[in-house]
Amino acid sequence: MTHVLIVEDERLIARLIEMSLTRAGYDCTVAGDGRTAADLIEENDYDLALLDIMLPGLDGYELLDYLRPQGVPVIFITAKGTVKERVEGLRRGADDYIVKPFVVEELLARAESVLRRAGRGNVMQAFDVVLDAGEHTVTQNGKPVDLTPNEFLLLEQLMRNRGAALYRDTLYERVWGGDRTETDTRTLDLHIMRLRRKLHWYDHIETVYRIGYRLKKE
Amino acid sequence: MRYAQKLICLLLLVLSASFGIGGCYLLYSDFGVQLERIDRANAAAHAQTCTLVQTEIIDLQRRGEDVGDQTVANLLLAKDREVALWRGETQLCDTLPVACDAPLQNGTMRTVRSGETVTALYGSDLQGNLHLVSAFDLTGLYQDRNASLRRFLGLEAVVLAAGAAVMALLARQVTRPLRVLTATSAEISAGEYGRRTDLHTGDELEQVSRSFDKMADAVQEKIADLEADVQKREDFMGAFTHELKTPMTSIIGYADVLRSLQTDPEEQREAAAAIYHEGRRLESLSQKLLALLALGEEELQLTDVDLADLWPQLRAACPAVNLQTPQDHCVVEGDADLLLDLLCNLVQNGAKAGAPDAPVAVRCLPGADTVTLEVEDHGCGIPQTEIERVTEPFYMVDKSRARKQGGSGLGLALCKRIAAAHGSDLVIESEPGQGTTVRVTLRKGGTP
Repeated sequence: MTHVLIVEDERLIARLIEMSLTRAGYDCTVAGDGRTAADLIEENDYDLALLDIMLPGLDGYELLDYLRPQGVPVIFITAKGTVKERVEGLRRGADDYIVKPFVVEELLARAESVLRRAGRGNVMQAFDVVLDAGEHTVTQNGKPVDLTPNEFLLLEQLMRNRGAALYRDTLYERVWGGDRTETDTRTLDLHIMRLRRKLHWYDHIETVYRIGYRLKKE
Repeated sequence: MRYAQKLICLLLLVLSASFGIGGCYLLYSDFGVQLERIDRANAAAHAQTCTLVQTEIIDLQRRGEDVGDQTVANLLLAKDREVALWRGETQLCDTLPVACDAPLQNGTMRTVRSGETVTALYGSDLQGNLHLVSAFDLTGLYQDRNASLRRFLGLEAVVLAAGAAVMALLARQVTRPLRVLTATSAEISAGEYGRRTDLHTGDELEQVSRSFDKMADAVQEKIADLEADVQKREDFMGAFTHELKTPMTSIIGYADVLRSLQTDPEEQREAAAAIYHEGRRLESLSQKLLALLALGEEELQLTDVDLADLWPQLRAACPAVNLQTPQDHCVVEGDADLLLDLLCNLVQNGAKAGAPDAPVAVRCLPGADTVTLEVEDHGCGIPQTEIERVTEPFYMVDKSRARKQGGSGLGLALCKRIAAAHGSDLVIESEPGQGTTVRVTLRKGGTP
């Protein structure tokens, strides 16, 4: 499990990030202010930290100084969006910089890429399948599974949102991009069918009536 | 050309002109006197020669001796003088140092120059159609005059050089304030607004320096004002962006979850609640912001407002607050809607600061021609260091608490604006842990 520390004083935003990351298979801890975060950093070992810059107590830059020696990769999530502020954040040693408002998908993608660069690759596991987003490989019981790029993306989406039913529109939008038409959902159904066959996941990938597909929770 | 150089040149010009003209006048008048004296002496000597020759000729004639040309010439030569003698048009003898073709008119004098030498010629007619011309050397006199002139010029040059040196020093001293002014203005234009000339020369330049410094003070003040203004605006924009982006992030994020996934009902409700909550927050923010903007624009029409009429409206606007309002009537000059807004904000702030159902008291304290409106709570209070800042837009003492209670950070800024529109100010007194009292002093209205 990848441990992620979320430091954000806006409760709702913190909860949103926590919700999305937990669904994607991360283990999250939320701190609402700088002091709590600093204490957590001292006591625990995290794989990734998502920091707001303007925080009560210690600010994001100060927390960054706590995290640097431990080699924990850091992503700033902040409303400060000018070029100057971004450069400042990156120069201080942040690995990435996300400006509010952000889309959760983007946050997940960036978190993955930062983890990959830090050598703490985010490996997701569901049942007997292991998906390495960094390496772009899927193994089942240790044996590699041959998937097309779109099948891979589809599986990644399902695994990232385990337990929740993904709308067909969303799935199509995220895997193929763009708006879907009637024939396109056929493509989606076809890919789901192939995925079930290749992984022998006839029961694990559920069809949710009038909504879309869901990867069952263990 | 620099001012000091100009000054030196001008002074030198005046000095050399006056010195030169004065010196020359002196020299020439002195020379004229000398020339006259020598002329008189020469004329006398010439007259003496004439008399002598005349006497001798008469003497010879009386003795019946020959007075031919040769004899007269010899007679003259014997005098060992520089003379020339004519009989009629014929020259009898000539020992003149200069060429003289014809005898001068009787009683006249002429000055002849040839090269370096200057000679004065005197002419006189003698008896027997004789014309005598004697010559006197004036070269020495003229040479003396020239030497004097040269000496004078040399002296003048030395004096002028010394004068120039002294003047240069003095000019440097005199123009020092100008250099200070130049240097200071250059520094100021380079951005060092704190520089001053501060000259004490006791003349017009000190006045210039004083008014310059006064100007620099004004400029510095204006610049500081402008910078503070820009800083304020930047702070406002930064805070505003933050206040806008935070609810946006939640709304977009949760809406994205809702539109892409069907999660369990618990999470769905959570997401919907977040969107609703943040939407309301944006709405209240935009409302307050609009009120703030509208206040800045137009002059208010103040009318008589009976505060007693406001209490029912205030209770309706803040239904959940344990509100204590005064009984008596109080009429003030103001805008009823804005005053209600002001009271509403203050009362809600007071209610948020304390425990639920803690009393918030509104009081009217009539003065001589003013009425002080007071809102008192027994909440958590404001730390002394923060009181100054609580009326800044988007400033929140405890951000997370303010958030939970749906605060936008604009309430007190709005109150301050409303107070200002009534020609008053917010006076905040607070004791952390004890409570806060906010006072606004309004002008008393006409008779109720």
